[in-house]
Amino acid sequence: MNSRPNPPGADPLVRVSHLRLDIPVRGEPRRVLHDVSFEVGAGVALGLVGESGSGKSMTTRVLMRLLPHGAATDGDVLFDGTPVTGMDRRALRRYRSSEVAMVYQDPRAAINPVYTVGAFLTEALREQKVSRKEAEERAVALLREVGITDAPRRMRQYPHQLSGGLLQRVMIASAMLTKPRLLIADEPTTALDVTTQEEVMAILDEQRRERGLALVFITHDLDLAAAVTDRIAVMYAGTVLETAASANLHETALHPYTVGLLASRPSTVDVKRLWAIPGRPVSAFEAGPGCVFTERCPFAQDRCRAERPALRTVDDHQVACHRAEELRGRITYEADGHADHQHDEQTESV
Amino acid sequence: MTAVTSTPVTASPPSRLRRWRKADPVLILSVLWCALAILVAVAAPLLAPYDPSQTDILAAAQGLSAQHWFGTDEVGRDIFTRVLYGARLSLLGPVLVVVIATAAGTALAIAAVWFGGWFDRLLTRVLDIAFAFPPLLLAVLSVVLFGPGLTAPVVALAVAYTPYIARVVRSAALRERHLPYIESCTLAGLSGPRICVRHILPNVLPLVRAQAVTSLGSSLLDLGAISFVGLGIQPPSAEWGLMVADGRTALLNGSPQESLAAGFMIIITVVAFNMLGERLAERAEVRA
Amino acid sequence: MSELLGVENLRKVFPVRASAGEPAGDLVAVDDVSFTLPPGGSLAVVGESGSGKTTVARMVVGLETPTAGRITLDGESREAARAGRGARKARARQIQMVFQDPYTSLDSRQTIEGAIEELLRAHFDWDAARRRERVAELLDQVGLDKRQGGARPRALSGGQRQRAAIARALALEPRLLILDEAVAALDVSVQAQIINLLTDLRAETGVAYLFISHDLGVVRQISDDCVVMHRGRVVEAGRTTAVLDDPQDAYTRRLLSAVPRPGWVPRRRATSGASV
Repeated sequence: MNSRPNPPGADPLVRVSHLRLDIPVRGEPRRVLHDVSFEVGAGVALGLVGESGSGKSMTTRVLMRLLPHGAATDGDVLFDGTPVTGMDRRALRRYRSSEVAMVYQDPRAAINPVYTVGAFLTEALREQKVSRKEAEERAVALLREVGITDAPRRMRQYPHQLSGGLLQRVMIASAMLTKPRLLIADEPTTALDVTTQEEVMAILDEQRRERGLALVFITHDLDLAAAVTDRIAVMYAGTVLETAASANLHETALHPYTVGLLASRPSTVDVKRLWAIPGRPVSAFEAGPGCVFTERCPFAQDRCRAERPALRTVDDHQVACHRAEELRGRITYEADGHADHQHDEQTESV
Repeated sequence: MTAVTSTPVTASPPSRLRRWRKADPVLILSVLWCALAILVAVAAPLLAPYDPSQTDILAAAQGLSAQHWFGTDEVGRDIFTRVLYGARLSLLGPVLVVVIATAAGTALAIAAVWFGGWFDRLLTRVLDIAFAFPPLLLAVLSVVLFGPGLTAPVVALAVAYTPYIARVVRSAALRERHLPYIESCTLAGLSGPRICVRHILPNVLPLVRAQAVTSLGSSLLDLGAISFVGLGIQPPSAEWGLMVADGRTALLNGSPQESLAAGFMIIITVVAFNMLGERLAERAEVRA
Repeated sequence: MSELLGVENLRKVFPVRASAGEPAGDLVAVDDVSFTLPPGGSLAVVGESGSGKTTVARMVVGLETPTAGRITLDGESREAARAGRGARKARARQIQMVFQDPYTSLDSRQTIEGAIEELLRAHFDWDAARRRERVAELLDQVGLDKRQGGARPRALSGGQRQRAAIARALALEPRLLILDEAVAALDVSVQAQIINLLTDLRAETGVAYLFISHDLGVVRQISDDCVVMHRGRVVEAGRTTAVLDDPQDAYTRRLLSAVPRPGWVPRRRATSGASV
């Protein structure tokens, strides 16, 4: 997949820098995001990859400004140069209704079961005073675009009469109706079978390219993200640990967590003992003062435990690791479960 | 450049609920009142200034005074004393009703869910029919069988309340029944009764508890009504529903304190039980 | 080759009640499925949702009754011994199952130790000390410490709960463990831990696995043989390496080509919109 970088000098459509988020839990603020930075240009797809509790879904909620009462953010979230956190009611409504669109993991929860697909798709257009006939024509045309051949029949059906894959296509079509500039897809294929996932991904990819959309694609599947996005941001415990070009992430990953994730994925082509990152994924609020990954990192040193590394540029990656240069290309996770530096004489004990 | 922005976009119900529960004055008042009512019922002989059945014709139908805080009734009995003593029968009835109905309803519901099939279908039909019987009609029938007193209305209401408990417990138990943890107990060779008592029951218990407390309130009200119409506890016993009825003559003569005091006790206690039941139900929901 | 589990011409039909727009009828969930599993072996049943793989597992373990066909364990028919406490317990000691969702497969009101001890007490005449010893041994085997053993499921992560579920399933030393998408709900890094654990446990205890999964990568790591199911029927069966390296059936090839990997490009098929 070719990356399509922004024209030089242009501001990216979305820029998130040093985003921090606290959400009140039982009256006490709880840290959900420590430090999240990334940017997405028009026509570019960014994969936001992380395990449960990494804060990837919360990040998109900040992008949509759908936060619980009492949430406090710090840092910048800019859409086309405008701070999302500072929008007034009207600007926010216009932003949500026509600039951004979302596709969710479970289409059944995101669609009202008592309306037909047609009613669901034309509702927003009818609100904008588009005639019924025109709204229906546009909806049918969109359904055809997302590969639904018998669109007129589907328009009359109810959500429960459609399979998960078809329903997700309907959701993609509905996201396209308002001609947004940014599409946020939150685990859109996680609930689907692999063969259906391939279809839905192909359609999503096609729509994004044809329309020049910026895409933020959230997933736990690093292989999937690498295949369908231009850049990847790896998140862990409310922190972006690494961003890199998707195409060569497998070979050039710098952060021990990214390398570990790649090594722990079972392959369909060969059998080997998997490298298993020890311990369990921690939440942002459980992290100590140092790097959020120290507890599970085989390469952690005193400095890692004491001082939180900031995201910095190493090669063409952005990486938040004190030892990135030193470990570059030398992290191997071996079959017997030990992590080691290749050809490193002074390997510290794990 | 950093801008600290608070973003009050949408209220989040869970966190508000949690904070609310932390210091909920209504809940605290409800618990205090229920505790007080029970204490009064147990310790009535120690707290009451007079004997509840001691008549004093010379001091009949008096108003409020230092000797008789709530005044006296037609035959000169101290109303305050009778309100305190009234807590005994007024609370004993609902407790008996709820204990019987909860035990029966829960047992039936879990058995129906466990055995399923025709047993479950039969029980559901029977419950549907039982819903159609008004508790007061059952009480009348019960008086024919047992004669007036505490037994008749308690039996009638226990029968009337069982379907309500059973319906709530059945739907909760049905949800648990098909969860993997129950299936894995079956696969582990545990016996049916053990799975029902040790696994399904504890997991539906929070809901049972909430339903039971709410039923305490409504059965107190129903028992009061039955006593009021004369089908329940008989004079000269002290019981709130009965006292409301007894006070009617005085009420017409311009001294409403007996009816008012007893009626007030009924209302506040019912409200307290309802509030408590509602909070317990909320908690059970959150858990599920 | 000796045989632990034998499945012959298994069939399961679910009656479907009429609903809006759909007439009543029969849903054939499993149709003419046969396979065998040697003692200590590992057989994967692979398929997507609706393939019938989970129904097969539920019939083998006895949670569903087959419409037709035969299930044998050690050559003895599973249906032969039905009711009765003895039969129930004997069955429990032969086959155990680990479910997909670690959040609902343990009783939230029981500690992990309590859940395991309950089984030991129901099956063996051991004294408390012996039971405690066995519980500790099992916890150690699946990599849980003393504190985690004394905790309720609520206090544990998804991976720890799945370890607990495995410990409980192994408590009776079954000869066959059915793993129904047992690693599908876990985070990638934790999934790798559990896959390794399952590999080790099979080597240590000689238990056989019937592994139900949709994930070909996981299947490759964990099984010796596999059966690919599609719409209730077996479309391909053989050694896992052979099936995945050189798939013969069109559906198996389709399944393999849909797995994301470096250089993968998702493609639209011509069949879209045809199925409901």
